[in-house]
Amino acid sequence: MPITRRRALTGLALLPVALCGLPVVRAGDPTLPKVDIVSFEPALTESLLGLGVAPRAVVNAGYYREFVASPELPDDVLDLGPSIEPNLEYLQRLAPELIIGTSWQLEGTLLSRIAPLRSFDIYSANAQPYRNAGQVVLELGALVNRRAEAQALLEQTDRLLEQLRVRLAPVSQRPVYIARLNPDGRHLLLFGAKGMYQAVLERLGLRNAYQGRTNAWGGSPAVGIETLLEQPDASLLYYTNPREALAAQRRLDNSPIWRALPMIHEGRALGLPRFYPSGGLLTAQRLALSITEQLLAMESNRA
Amino acid sequence: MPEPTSPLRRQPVWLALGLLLIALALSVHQGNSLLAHVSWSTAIGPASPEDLPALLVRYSFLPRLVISLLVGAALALAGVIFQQVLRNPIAEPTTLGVASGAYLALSACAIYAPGLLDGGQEGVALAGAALGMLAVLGLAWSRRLSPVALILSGLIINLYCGTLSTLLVLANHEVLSNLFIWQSGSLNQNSWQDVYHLAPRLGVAALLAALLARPLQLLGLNDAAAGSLGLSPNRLRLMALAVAVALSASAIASVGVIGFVGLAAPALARLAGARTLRQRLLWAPLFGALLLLLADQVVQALAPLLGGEIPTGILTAFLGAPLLLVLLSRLHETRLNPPAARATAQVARLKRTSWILLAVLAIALFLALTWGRGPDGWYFSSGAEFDALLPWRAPRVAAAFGAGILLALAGTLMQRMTGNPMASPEMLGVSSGAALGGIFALLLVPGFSPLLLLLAATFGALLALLAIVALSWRSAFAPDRMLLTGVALSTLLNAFAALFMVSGDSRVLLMLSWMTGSTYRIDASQAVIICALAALFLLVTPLCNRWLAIMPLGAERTRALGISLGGSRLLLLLLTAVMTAAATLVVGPLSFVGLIAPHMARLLGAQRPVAQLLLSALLGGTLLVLADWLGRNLVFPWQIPAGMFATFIGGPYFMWLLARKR
Repeated sequence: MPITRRRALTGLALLPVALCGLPVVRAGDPTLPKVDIVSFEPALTESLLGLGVAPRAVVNAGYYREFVASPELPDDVLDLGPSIEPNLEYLQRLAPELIIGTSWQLEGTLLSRIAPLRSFDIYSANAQPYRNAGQVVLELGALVNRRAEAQALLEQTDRLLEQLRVRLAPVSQRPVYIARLNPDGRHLLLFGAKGMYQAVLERLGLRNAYQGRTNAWGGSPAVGIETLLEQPDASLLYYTNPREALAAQRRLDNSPIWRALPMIHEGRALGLPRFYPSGGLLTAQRLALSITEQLLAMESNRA
Repeated sequence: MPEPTSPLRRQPVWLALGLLLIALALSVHQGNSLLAHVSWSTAIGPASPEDLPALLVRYSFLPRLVISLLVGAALALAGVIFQQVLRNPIAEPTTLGVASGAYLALSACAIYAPGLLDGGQEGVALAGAALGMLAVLGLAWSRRLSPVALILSGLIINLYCGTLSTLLVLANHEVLSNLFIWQSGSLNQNSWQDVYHLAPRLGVAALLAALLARPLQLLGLNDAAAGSLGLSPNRLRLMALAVAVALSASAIASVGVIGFVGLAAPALARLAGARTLRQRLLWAPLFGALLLLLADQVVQALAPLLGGEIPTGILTAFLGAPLLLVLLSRLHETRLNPPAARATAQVARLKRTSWILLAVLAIALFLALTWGRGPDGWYFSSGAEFDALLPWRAPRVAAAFGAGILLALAGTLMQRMTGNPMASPEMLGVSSGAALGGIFALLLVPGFSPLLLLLAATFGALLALLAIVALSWRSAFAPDRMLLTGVALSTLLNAFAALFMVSGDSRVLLMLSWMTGSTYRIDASQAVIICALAALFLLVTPLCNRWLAIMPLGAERTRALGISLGGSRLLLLLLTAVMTAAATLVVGPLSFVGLIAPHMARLLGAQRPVAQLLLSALLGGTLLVLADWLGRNLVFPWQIPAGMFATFIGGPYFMWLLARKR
């Protein structure tokens, strides 16, 4: 994503909003106070770090560092191995005070032999991940004695999204697609109902252009790029996995359909940084900031 | 060879015309629904970039139509060449390790050298395809590339490449979403790029095939006749195979794995009366093109009903599996005569060997329960720490032990029954049936319940068993036929696993972990059940002593001794199926333990059935306990599933067995 003058200006315009919204957590800070909790779920790890405490151990630390990334995970947090099969013998030796995770990770297991369990579901049947994420932050805050911080984080986020909604009012008529491109240049994945992308779009007063089938965290099955023609007037925000970006772009640049997509040739498509699609409240904040920045940049580019 | 008479010649024309009409009708219907108000001439003639329906027809619908014709023709042409050169009616890219080799190469590349895939995709696929094919040929070489040996080698290479790819996916799932789509074969297009890419390649291959047609036809008669053309027969075969592999690799690099077109089109051409190689080289690609066009139009027509498109490759695999069964049942020369393991030891030494093995087992069990790896390296636990860790370790160790015994017993029964030391439960397809049942449960029911999975897998194993019984009834459960049903079932399994992965379901990783044979989710009650079953069958199987002693002598002698062949085989088959189903739930559909253990028992001198049963049970249990222990600790805090770990040891053993000279 090249830095144009317009984009830099938009970024500057958003800076105060960004500063009041984001918690101040230093990178990989090993002095962050530890709580004797093991987290099985990246979204919960993210929320704990956002409250200014670090869990003692997490599942698949490398995955968190690559896909959630912020707030940064301190280097001395222990790694329990794969998220579908956390190392139980290791966990037994750690004997933490509490294990937290989603209900499908904890229910029907024998983990309660090791420590008390507590499940938090951001992506649950009620399909309200944003509200659930806020609730989870409050509950975690009560758990680690950071009630005030949790309340502040929640209010900050609500306030931030409300401010962004006001800024976005001029462009709110246009529906938005959010997509992850596949490097084959033929398929993409769209984000829709039940996911955080959709929840954030709604909070920002925007309409998701994709109304089709989605899985538990809001991802669609792989569809052809011509699907974007179902809502030709929509804007498109998209990302690729970094190592696949070149191949995808090259294939698409040669595709008459891609070039003919109204959002492409009318300049209504811009890149997004990659976000963890099943993240928590902090992911929602950064997501909202990026979406706003890009949609406003798009508007000023077209003006 | 007499030229066929003209009525025979006309038949393919009618069949082709029929297919063409159906495909065209569907295509026009599909195109009309896209065009809505625009006319076809605007879509094909010069259109403005603003006219979206016309653009869709022009750059999505039409290139997709053409690419399905090209890919179908390419795969069919490759199929005809493979079948002619290898004298094997079921040779095609997916049965010869070509497709799975290409897939493994692309997966590895996506992780370790992603830059290479930008533009170099075809080269990578070609290298993988060629390596896969060479491995299959190498394995079947010592059996002079006999049809059955070739297909079994293909199955093994497919399984092995599949296991390696799964391991890559489990460790790097976020990178490989694209490969899921590629593996399931989607023909979706948004430009003419792929058509421009594939068309000249198909043209060159067709030209080469035309040039090679006459020598290849002569080669079908005998080597000397081909030699009279001034070409060495082997060089000729190599050239023809190279053309076929390159063509398949190009086709699958551009759209993904499309199975069975290379199988169905030549079969259809032959059925319609194309007798000579020249006729098949002409008609099979035509049928292939039409078949894939038809399949792809059906997929598109079904999309609104199913709430989304299923990839075309899944449909062809689904339709292809029954066809494969039919073709398999017609295979001539199904006798597979591998070298029997020679007894190298005397009975006295057998006793000593057994004691040594028991000691090894005791040590393995002791290590598995007490010795483990933590953040500070290996540690030995005793006392309170041992008590705390035991509830986690004991069920896994016990389940691995029980599953190893069950697989070893099942393998021994199969090898005795078929007189074939390469038979194993994996080959029977019962394991694949159990895994298929599990996947269906995941596809149809939301959530993840271990109990449901267990029930569904048992049901799947039983269905597979019924299919095997139904298919082998006529041949009185002739061993070689039964073995090959495993090929068809494992193909179906792969197709459905691919469908599940491409569906974007968030439980994909859970399914993969289960399919790779992880003992992680075994609890105490499951472990007790598995061990109780193992103990039960350890007592029951020796009762079949007489049958097992006589059956390897051959069908005639068995009947002469007054044993009902069908009845005894059916009972043994049932025992095998139940044991395999129970073990599959613990260590997944492939581990090769059922193959290695009985074979090693024979090598160690266990000639009599009871001795072989007991010794192989001991070996099988020990092998899986060790595989589970190493898999749990080697890559701490990560883990390699026990079934997969055993595959890494068992696969090469099997290949060595297959490739060994008499």
